[in-house]
Amino acid sequence: MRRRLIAVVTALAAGVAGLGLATLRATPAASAPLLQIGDAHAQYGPTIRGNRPVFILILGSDARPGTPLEGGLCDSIHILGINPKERRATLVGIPRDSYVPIATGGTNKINSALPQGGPPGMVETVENLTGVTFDYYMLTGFDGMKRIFEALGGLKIDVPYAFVGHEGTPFGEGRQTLSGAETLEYTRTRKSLSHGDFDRSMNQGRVMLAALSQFRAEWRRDPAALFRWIAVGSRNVSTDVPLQELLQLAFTSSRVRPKRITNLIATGGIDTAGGMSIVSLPSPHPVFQDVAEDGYVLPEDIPADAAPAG
Amino acid sequence: MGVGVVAVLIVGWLLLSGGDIPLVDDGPSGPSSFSFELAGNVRLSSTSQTPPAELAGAARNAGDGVKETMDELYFRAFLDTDSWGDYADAFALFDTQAAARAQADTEVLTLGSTAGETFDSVRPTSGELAISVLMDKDKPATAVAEVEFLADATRSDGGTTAIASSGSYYLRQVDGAWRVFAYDVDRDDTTAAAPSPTGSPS
Repeated sequence: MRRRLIAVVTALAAGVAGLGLATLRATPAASAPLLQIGDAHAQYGPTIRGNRPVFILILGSDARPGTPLEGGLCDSIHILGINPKERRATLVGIPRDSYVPIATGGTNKINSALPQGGPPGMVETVENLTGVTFDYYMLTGFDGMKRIFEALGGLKIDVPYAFVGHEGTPFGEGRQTLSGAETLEYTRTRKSLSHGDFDRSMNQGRVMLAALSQFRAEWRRDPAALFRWIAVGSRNVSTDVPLQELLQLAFTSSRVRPKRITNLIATGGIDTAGGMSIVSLPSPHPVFQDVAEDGYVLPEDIPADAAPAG
Repeated sequence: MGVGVVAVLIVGWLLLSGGDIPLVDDGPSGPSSFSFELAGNVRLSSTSQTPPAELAGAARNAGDGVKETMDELYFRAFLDTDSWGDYADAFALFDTQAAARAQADTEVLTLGSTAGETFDSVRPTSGELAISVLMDKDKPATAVAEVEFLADATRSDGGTTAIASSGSYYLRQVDGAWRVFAYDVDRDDTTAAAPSPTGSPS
């Protein structure tokens, strides 16, 4: 699947001149005044281009510090779809309790696919469930999440509603900067939220969107911020994205405005199986079908129950 | 004896003027090379847990390579009269994909496609370069060069143009040489009109 992305990037090279990202405003030379000022701008970066969307499976393991990430249950599961041509993207959270066929065998909660089959097993399980073919995966854990935002000086985020975290931290409504530990608590809290794991999954998406906004802002101010973010991410995230393609993803993400990224969750009915509380996803799920088609879901196409307000 | 006095005077002048290294090596028809001044040490980011001190030497070496490319790029793009109007030597310092785009950005990235007809000479007045290197698997993988370049150009019509180029260039190694693969560059030139041949209008 990596070859497909390379092909997309190669296509970018061939057609890059038409991208129209550079602007040129040169003052005409005719009728020269006493002082003539010309200003112009040129910009180019190797973005992913083409009609085909790019899909990344973003995973969070609950492995305890000092234990392998692959051994933990996967309690944060997000599909990131990017449509380079439309400059749109979508994050779809999948409830960890979704009761689905596991690629390595049997039917179970989807979060068990990681310890049973590692990242490849997790990727295959989600591919079978959603119809999405992933180009890459990214996997982190509690420690990684905390260290990332400690190293980056915290996360600037707009918290949509107040709640108390599972470790007692009060999260007020509005814009604020969370420390690494607070960011971790923000993404882990479930019981004090009105829609439980659905709301937690939305909050995890909000953290990713806030991180993207912060990355864009810092990169605009400081060209070397790109390296700082890649370095911090690489030290704390396990991934199959090679560095050069990570750079292309970064340049691509810089062209997708956060307002053109939708954040939603694939909801389902609450049920029980074998004495476990589970989420029963409709099949086929309209959100999966929509995002698999072109990499994004428009805000007006988000099902009402896929974006709980609570 | 006389030579020694001159040498002392030159060293003294360099010290009093801040010790700046000359930006250009002048030849008979203008500068024959160009050298940026480095703004601080090479900044280092790493994808590994290796202590930065252990990577500093490799990062410095990478910085030297990046500076060499950027020196050459600005010499070919602005100062080398033989390159004016045909910037193949400058664009050879870009990787294949970026070079294709850079051709379309000639008016921003170089002295311009009509430089040969427009200008008689150009001299750099300052050039500052800040370099950051990203180490991957403890080897230099990519770098960004932040540039501030100023030059004074004398126009064929007798006027002058203050050339100002600033921005960032991202580089990676291609066949052992550092080549530009992305850029974000501004030009902000100021042109004074030629003196009136009839003198002051008043």
